[in-house]
Amino acid sequence: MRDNLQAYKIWAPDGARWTQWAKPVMFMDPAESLFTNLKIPEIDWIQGLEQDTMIIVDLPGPDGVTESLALARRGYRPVPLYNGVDGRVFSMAVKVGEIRKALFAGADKLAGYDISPEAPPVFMLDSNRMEVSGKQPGTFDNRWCVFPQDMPSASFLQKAGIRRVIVRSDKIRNDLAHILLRYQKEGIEIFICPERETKKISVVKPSRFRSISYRFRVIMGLTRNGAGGFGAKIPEPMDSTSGGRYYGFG
Amino acid sequence: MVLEGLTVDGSVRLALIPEDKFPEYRYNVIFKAYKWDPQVGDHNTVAKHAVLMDRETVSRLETWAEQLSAETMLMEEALVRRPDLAKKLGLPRQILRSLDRLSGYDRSKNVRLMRFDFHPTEDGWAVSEVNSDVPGGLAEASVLPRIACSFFDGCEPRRHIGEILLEAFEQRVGKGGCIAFVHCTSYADDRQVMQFLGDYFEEHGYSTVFAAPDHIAWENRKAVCILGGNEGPVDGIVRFYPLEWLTNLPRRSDWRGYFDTQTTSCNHPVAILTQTKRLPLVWDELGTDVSTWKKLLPETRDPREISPKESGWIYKPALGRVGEGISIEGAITEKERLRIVKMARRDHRHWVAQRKFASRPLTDVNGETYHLCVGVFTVDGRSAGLYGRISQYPRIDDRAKDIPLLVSKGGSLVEGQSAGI
Repeated sequence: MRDNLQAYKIWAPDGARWTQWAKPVMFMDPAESLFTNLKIPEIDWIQGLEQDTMIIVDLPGPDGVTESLALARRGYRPVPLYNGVDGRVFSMAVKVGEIRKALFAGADKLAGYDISPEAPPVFMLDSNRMEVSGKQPGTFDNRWCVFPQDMPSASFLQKAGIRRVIVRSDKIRNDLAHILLRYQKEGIEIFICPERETKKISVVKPSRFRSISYRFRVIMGLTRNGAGGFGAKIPEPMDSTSGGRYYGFG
Repeated sequence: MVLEGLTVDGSVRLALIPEDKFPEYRYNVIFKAYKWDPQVGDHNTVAKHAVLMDRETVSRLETWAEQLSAETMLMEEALVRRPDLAKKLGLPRQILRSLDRLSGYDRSKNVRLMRFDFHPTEDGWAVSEVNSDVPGGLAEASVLPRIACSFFDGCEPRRHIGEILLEAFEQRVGKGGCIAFVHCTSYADDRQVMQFLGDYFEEHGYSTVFAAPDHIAWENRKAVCILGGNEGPVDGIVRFYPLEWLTNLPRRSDWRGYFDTQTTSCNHPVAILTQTKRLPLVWDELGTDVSTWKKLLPETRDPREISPKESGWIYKPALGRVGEGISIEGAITEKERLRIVKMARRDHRHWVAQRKFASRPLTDVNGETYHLCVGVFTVDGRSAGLYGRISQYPRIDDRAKDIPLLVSKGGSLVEGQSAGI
């Protein structure tokens, strides 16, 4: 078993174009005995390596890791964006342990893949990051959001030759919509692939898009319900209480 | 090793970390210095430089920080007795309603941590603010210089803030006691600060718990942890959760318990009285010595006293943090600046206008220029470490880069040149 830094270096190797964005949070706790037999799925929803395509894998728990490794086998560069901390207690809102195990176990597989330093990226998210509804007092609330500053700008993507983004998920979550709309406004096409079919979408403006206080309000809004953590204050698409559509597919 | 970089009057230099060593340095900064946010957007926040300073300059900044710290503590104690003035500080209403619970505040029973931000300017050093409530940069100040000093012969790190905070707690909480590190648990940027301290305290004999603010309950004004698996008495609190955010918690959280707890706190909520940037608007009425503050802080006024056409002023929110919402020409778009000015004038009770100083940038060997901010920590009034950040534009915000500050072991960095900026 590799130690923390060794495992991180496999996922964020020096010299790869997208290494800078790799989040180290999941690699910070000591590597315990983490033997996990990862099953890397065969994927048929994308044809080979497409140099102008960035993928965002937004799947639950370790599924995001295995799907990203399957894409890495095709030549994509997986970039962990997991930012949920480990509460070091049993009662956590978002279970991060299985993701961590998969990342450590996956490092061995990833080390064996031949990936170009210039390969297009696969940004990895846990779709459970905000899925837990509410929380009980006394539990550790480690829900989290992805913010625009967690990912490259549209201009950086375009300079790297990225022209389209595929979101591998069942839906576009609100925090991700803030990022995708920035890309869309700069001419990058957005697609979603919930199962096998990939379809182009139009991301609709989410609430507080480009608001100077967006990040602050997310933290505060979530804190309000969350007993010091997040609390699901962000309206979901077609939320009837929002008085309208915050985002969706057009 | 030959020091690279140009000087600013010989007292402060910007030196490049050897290019071939930088990737490994960055990995070490992430893992050993708890730098979990090494990238913000397209910006790498780990500087490729170090700042080298001569001892005289560092001593001068530390002395000023200690004087500022003493004046700040006297002001907050005076403000506890002056609720009429506290109303002018731009604090949330719920906080104002809780200030009466500060009346029993005893400095000796709590640990007082602050960070004063100094900037080299065309007219000498200036201080832009005190981070009085929840100053960050603790790991960066403590560990970064210890990693970087191997690249620069003749230089050494300054004080280790974790060590000094530990000593301060040791004077008040017995070994083996439980310290609660209170923060926004869902926010990795805050957890990295808490984890640095938590690991350090655990290594030195304390038990620790990472908790959200409402994982703390109160029994006879003593803190008790209610987090599942960690229930029990708490002997000390390190809070990295801005006090004004507490007002957003549910009522059942009883967040006002922080205000009059007898459990040793760092920082005690009294800090909010001097965290606000509107403090200079009332300090003349407090009857305490503020001479160092007046010497180093640019003139500060209520935004309504400044004509919109008058140039040379910047606007800051009273409780703004990490540079957010500050209107500095050249650092933000004109549209953003005008929006900030409009907000500041409309909601002037929660903003200040401050005379802009001309930051004096440092230039590296490649001709690139950077603006520097030197944060000097104090613990219980004594200087406790240096936190460096640089930015390519004259505003230090979340895109600024963390940079190790190293101190010359000998005299001036460049013989024969003035040590002053």
